Amino acid sequence: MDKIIVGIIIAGAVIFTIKSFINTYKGKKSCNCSDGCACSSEKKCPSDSKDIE
Amino acid sequence: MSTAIVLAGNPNSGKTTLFNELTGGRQHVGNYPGVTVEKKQGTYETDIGRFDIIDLPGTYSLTAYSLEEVVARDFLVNENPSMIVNIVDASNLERNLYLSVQFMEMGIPVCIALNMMDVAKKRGIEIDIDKLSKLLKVPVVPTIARSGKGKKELMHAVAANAFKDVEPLKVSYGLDIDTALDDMVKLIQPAGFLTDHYKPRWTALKYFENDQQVIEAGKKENKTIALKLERVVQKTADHLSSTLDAHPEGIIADHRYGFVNSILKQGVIRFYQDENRLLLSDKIDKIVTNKFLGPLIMAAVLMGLYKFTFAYSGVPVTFLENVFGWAAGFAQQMLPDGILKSLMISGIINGVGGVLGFVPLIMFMFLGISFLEDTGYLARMSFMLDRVFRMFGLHGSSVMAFIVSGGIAGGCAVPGVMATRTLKSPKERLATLLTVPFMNCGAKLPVFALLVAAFFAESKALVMLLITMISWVGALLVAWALRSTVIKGESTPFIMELPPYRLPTLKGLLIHTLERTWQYMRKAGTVILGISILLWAMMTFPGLNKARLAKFEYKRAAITSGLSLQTLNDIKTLEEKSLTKKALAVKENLLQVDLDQARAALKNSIAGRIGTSIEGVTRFAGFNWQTNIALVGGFAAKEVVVSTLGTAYSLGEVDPQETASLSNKLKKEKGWGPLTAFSLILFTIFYSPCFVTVVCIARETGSWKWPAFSVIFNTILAFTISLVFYQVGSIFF
Repeated sequence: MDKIIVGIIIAGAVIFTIKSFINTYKGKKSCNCSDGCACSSEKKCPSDSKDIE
Repeated sequence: MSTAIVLAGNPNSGKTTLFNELTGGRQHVGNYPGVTVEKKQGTYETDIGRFDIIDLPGTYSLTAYSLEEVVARDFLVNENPSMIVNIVDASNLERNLYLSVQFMEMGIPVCIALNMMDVAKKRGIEIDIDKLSKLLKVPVVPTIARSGKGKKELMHAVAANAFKDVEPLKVSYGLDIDTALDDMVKLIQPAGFLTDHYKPRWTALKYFENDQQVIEAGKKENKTIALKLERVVQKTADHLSSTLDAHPEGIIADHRYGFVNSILKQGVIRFYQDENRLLLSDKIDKIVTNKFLGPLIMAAVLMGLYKFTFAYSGVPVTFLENVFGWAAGFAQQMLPDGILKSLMISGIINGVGGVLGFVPLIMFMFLGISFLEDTGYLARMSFMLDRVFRMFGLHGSSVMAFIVSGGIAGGCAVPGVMATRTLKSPKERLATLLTVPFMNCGAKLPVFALLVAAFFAESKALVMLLITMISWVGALLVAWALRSTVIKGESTPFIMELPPYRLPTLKGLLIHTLERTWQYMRKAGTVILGISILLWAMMTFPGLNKARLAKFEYKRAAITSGLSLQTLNDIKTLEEKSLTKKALAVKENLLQVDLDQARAALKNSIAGRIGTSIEGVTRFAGFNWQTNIALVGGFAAKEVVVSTLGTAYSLGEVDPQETASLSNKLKKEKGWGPLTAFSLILFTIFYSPCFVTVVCIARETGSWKWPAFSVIFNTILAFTISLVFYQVGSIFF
């Protein structure tokens, strides 16, 4: 029984963590420390890397 | 139906404060320019209607020179709001109205919120509001955003004037430019050139102001018209240059100020005290920003902040440690032996508890920083550090990005990276956003607090100050190296408006402190919890194989062989003081076997194998394999360093009575000492930014090249610093 509960908890943690990272990567969340940064308007970010480089 | 309105104005004019007052929002407000670098949205609902309110970044002009100006202007042009609520700082009327004129030139209905009336009054400024409204032909409502005074009247004025058709304001820019503008409008209007978005005269003006965004859009729209417009501009510019020795941009700015002045001088503004008298803020600044006294005061302020934080957080931190210790002890007694018990105690309570235990410290640190921020002292720090920053190829505006990232401690690199948007030079911006992760963010703080409390308890504040200095010096040296090699380029000038000193409100301080503390707790309860569980699993599985387990069983059998059943039962059930000497010795031997088994299992786990595989290299910097696991976990989020150490040392612990805090465990652990602790502190300061920051750097630079550089370069730099420190330190200590 213990093993099943632990398995479920670990599976939940894996899904949650991966989902959080994907959301951060895609910029789906608002900009803050824990969730990452979303550029809701593309023009807020430099239009391409040439702007910086 | 709701009415869409925008709050716009100069930086530090109180837009975000008014936004929070109207929407009940909790957006961050700071007594320094550049707090809002992206738009924020909220709703205001009363009997007069429902309003969708957008808080735009503060700007001085609407020409696309910097990102926040682009954000503000794009929104006004593309979203077509019903009204602009222009927040105007009543104590700096002339400069603020310069932007108002540009709003009115766009042809969008404007309502002026004449904010900070209390400050203006204190400065002896009297404003004839009715006359100002009449001359500008827009509603003007006096407000004090900090207390919410005037917000109802403002929204009534908005409701009454939104959707009204307004003619764009026509400011005369002198015969030469006016004639050219008329000619350009004649070209723009019939061709419908960019008229979907912009009014014709406004487009023409932007050509004169050399607005690259409009010029580029024009080229895409109609190359022939665009070329004709550029010719008109060039011809006029040449003429102005030869006759007046001036550029069109300068003449346009002069005429806008002239227009504002012509209004103010019609009895709108009156100074009933000497306009040039030294204000209290100026008097304070004479001392606080003094070339010699300023840096000393700054060091004293930081030292005071750290002393305050450690002094007041000590008791609640110990209390929370005891609470988590008690929870671990309770779980130890209540849960049956097995992996669920191990997950609860080592993975969750000791992992996340290690991070949550520092909540009081974080809270006091945030309270102190919020106080400095709200008084306006942080802006002075920027001002003083500008000279230093320029020496290292950075910009005065970089200072605020550093402070937001945790320059004093307790910030976050993500908004720090975002704050670099206020920098106009792309190269200075890149150098800043690659170095802000060196600051001591709130996630690094528990790592430092843990190690400082364990190994430098006598001089906590001093060591914290030293850590701060090291991170700043390191960041500046890296910036200098980058600006001298891969991102070479000229420095740009820095002009900063110093906001007046303000006494922070209790409400403001509480909102800032609680908001940041909540963010820290939320992160501990979500992302850190998830990662802690994963790392616990990595530190638990696959465990020991049957042969190795049998070896430990054999050792136990050897220890207990020849003992009577009664003695064995006593060892299991009685307390140590009730045992005979022989039984006590057996119990200790058995515990040692348990400990060896637990450590062998940990070392054999997935994480243990990763940790030991790199120990051959990292031990030269003083890091054992448990520390390696923690540091690898720290790539996900820096707090994980603490939670992983908590889990690692908890999994290696077998005494059920042992509920000591992690700092006490580290103190007793072999191989740990001040030298190892400081080496780890140095590594934590400099090594790779966390995952979220890496993603943000990628988004802000528009490529993965720079975040990859940041991860690799920072980690190599951190290891080199720790290695040199540890090896040199080992000679002396």
